[in-house]
Amino acid sequence: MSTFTPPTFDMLAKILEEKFGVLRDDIKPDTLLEDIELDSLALIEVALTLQKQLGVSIPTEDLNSGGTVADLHELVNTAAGKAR
Amino acid sequence: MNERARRGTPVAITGIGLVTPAGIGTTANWERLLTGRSTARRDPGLAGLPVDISCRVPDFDAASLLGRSTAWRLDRVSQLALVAAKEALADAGLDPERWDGPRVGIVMGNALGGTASYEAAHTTYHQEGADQVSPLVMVNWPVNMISGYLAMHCRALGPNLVVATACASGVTAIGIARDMLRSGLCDIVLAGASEAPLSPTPMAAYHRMGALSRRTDDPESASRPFDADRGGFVAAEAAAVLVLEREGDARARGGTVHALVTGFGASADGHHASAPDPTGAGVERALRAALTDADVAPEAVDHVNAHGTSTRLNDLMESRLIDRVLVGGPSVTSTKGVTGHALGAAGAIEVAYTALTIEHGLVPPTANLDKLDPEIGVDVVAGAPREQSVTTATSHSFGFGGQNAVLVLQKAGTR
Repeated sequence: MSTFTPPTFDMLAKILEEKFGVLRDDIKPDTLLEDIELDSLALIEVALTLQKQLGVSIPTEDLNSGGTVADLHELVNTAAGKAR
Repeated sequence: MNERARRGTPVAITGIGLVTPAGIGTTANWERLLTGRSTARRDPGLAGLPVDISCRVPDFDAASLLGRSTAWRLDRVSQLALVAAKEALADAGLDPERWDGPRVGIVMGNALGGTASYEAAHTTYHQEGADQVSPLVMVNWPVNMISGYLAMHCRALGPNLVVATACASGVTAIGIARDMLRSGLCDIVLAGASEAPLSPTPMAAYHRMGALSRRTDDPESASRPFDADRGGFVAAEAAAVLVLEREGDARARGGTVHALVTGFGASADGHHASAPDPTGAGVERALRAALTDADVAPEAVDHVNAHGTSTRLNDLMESRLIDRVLVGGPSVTSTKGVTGHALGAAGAIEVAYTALTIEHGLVPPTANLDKLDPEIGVDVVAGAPREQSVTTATSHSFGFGGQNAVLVLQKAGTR
């Protein structure tokens, strides 16, 4: 059984705030990623960071700047689920 | 304005932004320059290299200067440029929200692009594989991104380019920008250069070329232009951005004119990949072209901000050029003694320093000039700043590849 713990929303928010400079108040589940300036290139960088920090492979082709922070969180959790 | 009048119209420097090893901001730069003390230090980022000294911008915290959401996306070469551009705009009293964006151009100079971004990606590729390479490399490594990012942040929507003439890039950029104003292509141009070369691969290669000073045990003495014991340059990172406008436009809006850019000349040695033509024929063509363009007699030049790299070949060749052409006996300084050699950015920094020299009536001293090379017969200012009312100055930059560029700057009110 894996010891991997899926990231909570707060963990994801912390990474977006500290590494990518997104204001904490702007990070809400329904925030559009493009509204916090996370375009397609930036999202790949976000995915690479999450992969390194969480040790899980995130399918970058599924990232979409038209999605929300909640969508990103779900994608990470789905990837984590597959990794278990 | 008819075509002939426009082609001869003086172009004014109305804003200056400087981010160099001498400090962040024009005031810090000028104060440090007047001390004549070198900024070279041991560089932990170059630890393990045969030459591990450099001139870095002190206390450059991109996140606090630009905001974290901007800083993380940009290579240092664009971070430096953006901070310099913001200062230049503030100095000029211009607000990008209010200007006619499509009439504002940007011309920046650069030699090496986003070297740190490329070097990091290269390491990642070899150590972790292709899937781990960041796509942002391709919007940070290419040289054109420097002016691209400036346009995004300054709403400058006119012609936008980066020119590469190695260590002459900054002067070339300002010369081209001047012509864009004279031709009527733009009403305002942000012009300058940026360089962030202090990553291991380029520094290893410069060392292998024999271009770098090897005084690693005494970094502060390493950059010593025109000195008998000079032995190479100290690499630096820096950016300078100038706001350029036609003088009439600048006066009409009540802008401050630091100095006028009145002449530009450029040439190619066509001689060697890295060594200057020892006869100085190529650089002489650039210098004479700039004087002709400015309609200035050689003897009227009363100050030179030299390329003065602290290499044996350049300084000797350049001093002979000055002695041969500028027969009025101008004062000469090389500010690289303080700042080191910021490669593609050097020329832009030195044009800014030349403008400040004209404005303040003070020539900054050449650092570490203890004993003038006996083969050098020009009037190099050393030790302390010299009071001099400079009216006509030249700023020289000569690049690997034999690419040469010279600007003539004059005191406001002399044309």
